[in-house]
Amino acid sequence: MSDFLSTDSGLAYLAPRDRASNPAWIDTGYRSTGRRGPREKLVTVPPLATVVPAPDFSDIVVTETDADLTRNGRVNGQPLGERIIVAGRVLDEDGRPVGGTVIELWQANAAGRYRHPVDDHDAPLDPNFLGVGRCRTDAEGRYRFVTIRPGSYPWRNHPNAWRPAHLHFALFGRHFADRLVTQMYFPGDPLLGLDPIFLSVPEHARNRLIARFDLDLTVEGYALGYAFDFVLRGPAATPWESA
Amino acid sequence: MARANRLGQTPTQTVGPYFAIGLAPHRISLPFTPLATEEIATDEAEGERLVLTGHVFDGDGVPVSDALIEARQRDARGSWKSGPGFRGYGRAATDQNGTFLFRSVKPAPACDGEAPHLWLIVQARGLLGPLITRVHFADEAERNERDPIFLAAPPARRATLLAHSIGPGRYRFDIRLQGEHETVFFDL
Ligand SMILES: [Fe+2]
Repeated sequence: MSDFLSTDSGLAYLAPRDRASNPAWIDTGYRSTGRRGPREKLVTVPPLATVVPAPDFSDIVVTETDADLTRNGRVNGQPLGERIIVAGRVLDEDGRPVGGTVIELWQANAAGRYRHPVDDHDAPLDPNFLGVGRCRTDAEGRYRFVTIRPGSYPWRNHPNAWRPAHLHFALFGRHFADRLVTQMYFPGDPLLGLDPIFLSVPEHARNRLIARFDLDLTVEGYALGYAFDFVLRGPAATPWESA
Repeated sequence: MARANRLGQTPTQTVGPYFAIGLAPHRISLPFTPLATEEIATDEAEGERLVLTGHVFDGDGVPVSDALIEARQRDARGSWKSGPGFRGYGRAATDQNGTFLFRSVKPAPACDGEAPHLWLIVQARGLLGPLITRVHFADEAERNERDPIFLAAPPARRATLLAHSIGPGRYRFDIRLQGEHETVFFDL
C-alpha cells in the first residue's frame, strides 16, 4: 500500500466498531428490523478504507441559541414542559477529547409529539418548540444543551408499545466511518425494560445510553442537569486490529 | 474486541422515522438552517456535474420512504478538502417512493490504485446502526478492477456497488437493504 493512500487525509487508521457492544441488525423485538436489517455479513475492507475524513463544518456558525431548544423555536412565549440541561463531553475510546465537532439533537416535545408530518400521535404540538438543536464541542470536547424533557410516545411495534423518554443525537468523530447516531435515555424510566430499541443493545453496554442526574449541572431555580458523555472510536492499534 | 483500559464505545440506535427534524429540517419546512443538504457541491464548484439518484428497497422490494443517506467524496482534483462550492458531503432523505437524489461533481481518484467513488452511509427506521457502502461508476470498469476496496467485495456481489449512467451526468444507484442482490455493506 502506498504512503500516499494512507496519509492522504492526515488521519490515523480508525479502530473497529465494537460490534459486541452494539445491536444486531435483525432484532426479533424490534419488528421493522426484520425486513430492513442486512442479512449478509458485512464485508471486511483494507484499513485504508477508514481514513476518509468526516465532513468539515468549521465554517458553519453554531450559536448559543442553536443549542437552546427552549429559545430557538419561540413564536409567542416559552415552550411548555420541564426545562432540562444536558451536557457532557465527546471523547474517543482512549479518553482523548474530540473538540470542534458538531452534535445534532432532535426530540419530541413535552407531550411526546414530534414536529414532523409523519407523526400522527394524538398529543398537542407546541407552537414554541421545534425540537431541534445543534452544538459544537469546545477544545476539551464539552457540549451543553438546554431543552425540554421529552414525553413518552406510543408506537406500533407491538400492543401497548411506548418509547421511553429519549433524545436523538448525531455526531461524527474525525473519520467519516466514525458516525454515531444514538438515543439518550433518562435514569429510572420504567419503560426502559420494555423498549425493544433500548434492549437491542447488549446488556453490558446499555448503561452507556442512560444519562446521569447531576446536581452540579443543575441550575438553581432554573433546570435540572443531566450528564451524558459520547465515546467515539479511537485510532487503531498496530496497524489494524482484527475485530 | 475492546482493548483494556479503554472507554466503552457508545452504542448506536436507529435514526427513527423523525430524523428530518434534526438532520434535514428543510425537507419538512422546519425553520432551522440545515447543516447539510442534497448538494454535495454547488454550481460554483469546479468539475463535471454529477446527479446521483436511486431508490432504497427493503427485503420485500418495498421502497423505503424514510431513509437517510449521507455521502462523502473527493473533489474534481481528488482532494477531500472543502473549497468554493464544495464540501464533499451531502445528506439526502428518501421521498414517498423511496427515491433519493444528490447534486455534485464527479469525484476524481487520488491515485492510480483508486477508482472514482462516493462513500454512502445509509440509516433508517428499522436499522439499528449505520450501513456503509461505496458507489463506483459502471463506466469506469478498468479502474474499478484495480481498486482494493472495490475488490474487497466478493466478485458475485460487486455489481451492487455500481452506479449506471441514465443520461448526461446522471447516474442511478439503488440500495437494497436485504434480500436478493443485497447491497454490499462494509465492516467500517
Ligand atoms: Fe424518537
